[in-house]
Amino acid sequence: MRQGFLKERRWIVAIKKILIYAEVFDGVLLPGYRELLSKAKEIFQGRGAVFAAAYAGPRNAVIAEELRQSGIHELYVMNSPLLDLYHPEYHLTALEMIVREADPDVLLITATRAGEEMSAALGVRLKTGVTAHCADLVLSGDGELTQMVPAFGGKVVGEIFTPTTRPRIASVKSGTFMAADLDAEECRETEVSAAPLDALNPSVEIVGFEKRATKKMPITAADVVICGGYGVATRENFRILEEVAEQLSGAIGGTRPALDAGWIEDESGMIGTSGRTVRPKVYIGFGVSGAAHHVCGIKDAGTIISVNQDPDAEIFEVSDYKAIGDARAVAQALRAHLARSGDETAPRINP
Amino acid sequence: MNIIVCVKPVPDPEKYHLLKIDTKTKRLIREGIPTILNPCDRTAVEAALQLKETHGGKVVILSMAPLFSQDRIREALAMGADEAYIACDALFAGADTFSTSYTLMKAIEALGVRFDLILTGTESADGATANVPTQLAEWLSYPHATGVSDIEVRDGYATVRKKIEQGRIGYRIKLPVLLSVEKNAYRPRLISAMNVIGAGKKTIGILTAETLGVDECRVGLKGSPTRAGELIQLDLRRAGREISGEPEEIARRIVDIAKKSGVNC
Repeated sequence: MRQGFLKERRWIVAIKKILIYAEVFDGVLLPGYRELLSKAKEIFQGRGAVFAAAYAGPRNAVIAEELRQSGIHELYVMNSPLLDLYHPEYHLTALEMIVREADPDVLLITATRAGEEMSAALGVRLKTGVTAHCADLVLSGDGELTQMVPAFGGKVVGEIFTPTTRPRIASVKSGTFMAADLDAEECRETEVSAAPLDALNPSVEIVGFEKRATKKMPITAADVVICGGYGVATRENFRILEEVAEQLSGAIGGTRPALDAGWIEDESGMIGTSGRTVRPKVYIGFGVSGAAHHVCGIKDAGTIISVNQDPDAEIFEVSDYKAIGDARAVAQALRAHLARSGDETAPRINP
Repeated sequence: MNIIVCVKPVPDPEKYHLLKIDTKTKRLIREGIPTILNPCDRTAVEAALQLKETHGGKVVILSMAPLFSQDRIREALAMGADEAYIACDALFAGADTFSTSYTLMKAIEALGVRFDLILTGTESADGATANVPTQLAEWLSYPHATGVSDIEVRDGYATVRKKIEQGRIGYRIKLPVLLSVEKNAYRPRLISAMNVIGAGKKTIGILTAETLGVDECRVGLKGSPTRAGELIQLDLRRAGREISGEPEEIARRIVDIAKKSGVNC
């Protein structure tokens, strides 16, 4: 079946240039850029492909230098004070102008809240295909980009191709790929005129911004992730998990039901396809049922340990270790155990 | 104020574990999985109804969907929407988000009403691309904001708060505008038996490719720039070794395993 499908498509051109959107917030390059560049280099390296970055923001010499050193061959920048905080019209037009100038075969965008919007809209502006939230990017035997996309909450993964239009636009959530150490390449820089922005008569005006207070360790960076699901039952029980996470110098996360119950604040603490993908050394789930979209978000964890009262819980199928038991009781025992061992080892210096 | 809400019937996300791939045909077997109104879309319908309560006007429901899902669209009528239309034609089959959003644009144009607000949910439970809202706005040349809450309309402008990873941006946007409504921003109202009976009496308008006057090269599979290849069911199974004993014993074992896995504890 697949053979027939491949035969029927007609390539427009081979993939020669990959452009990656470098999203910057508050003067900081977001990690998704390096993750995407690393993946792009992994799959297209040695095929004579050109790697390029797109920056649309206020003039920033530090960012520009960081991008030039990141391992790309071409840097496209549009500098404008109008491109500071994400603006759905200015940023979209800026990236559209850059893409028209750079003329890439593939455009990779980190699926942030802003990136999701821009990638989708660009598909219509450039009359090409957009593949959202790719779980993986691979190369087919004949050199075509194969975008692996989770559907039905990650229960299945489908191959998506953009066979006849370009650029092929793909968005990928931050944390999906690992950033590698890349050597700098000789980099040519092109400044794209911001005049189209000044000519826009925008319908959207930014009237405020409330920055989110971030204090806790993000779940995407922790060695240990403790996760609470519906089976945790109460806010009070969830607090115990938060304490255990703290004892382990780890991070606390939750499932969709935990978010709906208000135990976690927002999607940044939700583990799963519509929240965050985590890859800690150890994941410990309490009262997690194992819904497909959650499982998809933990599949790259080193060791998966699950505690659930239900011996038939789906999560046990995808766990390295399963404990059939009450989430609250085990969490309390774990907290007590860690408190004790914390006392014993306190004077010792970790080797 | 006229509001159109775009909705989608989807396979019930609570039943996705029942999905299987036929090993021969490589097609998805959806047997035993009921169709429901996409959960996020109820939030958008609720937002529309609240705005109508404040500003008057009407709330129109639009969906590109097969005929058999009419009853799911009717749920939006039961919530209190005034009219509903389904864009339905064999030519629309196999559409990706690009051709779906094009078709919705043609349908909105065909209704011949100036809509001040187009509301959608953030994403569908099945594909979850979140592409369609923004793409529909682009086809219509409307401004857009996705994942918004706190929608207020005054003097021809909507003010909203959009969630981004680093906080919330406030936007003031000239009408007409397309907004996708943040999942938990509004609590969808419950539907009573009376509402259901009332909605049952309303007719749902059917919009075909011919009535919409679509460019056939832009709809359905033919109009889709993306193509699906194989479906793969991931095998994520792990050993599932059992840790048994009293909670204290389980706790001790968990710490041992964590240590062996390279965690300092």
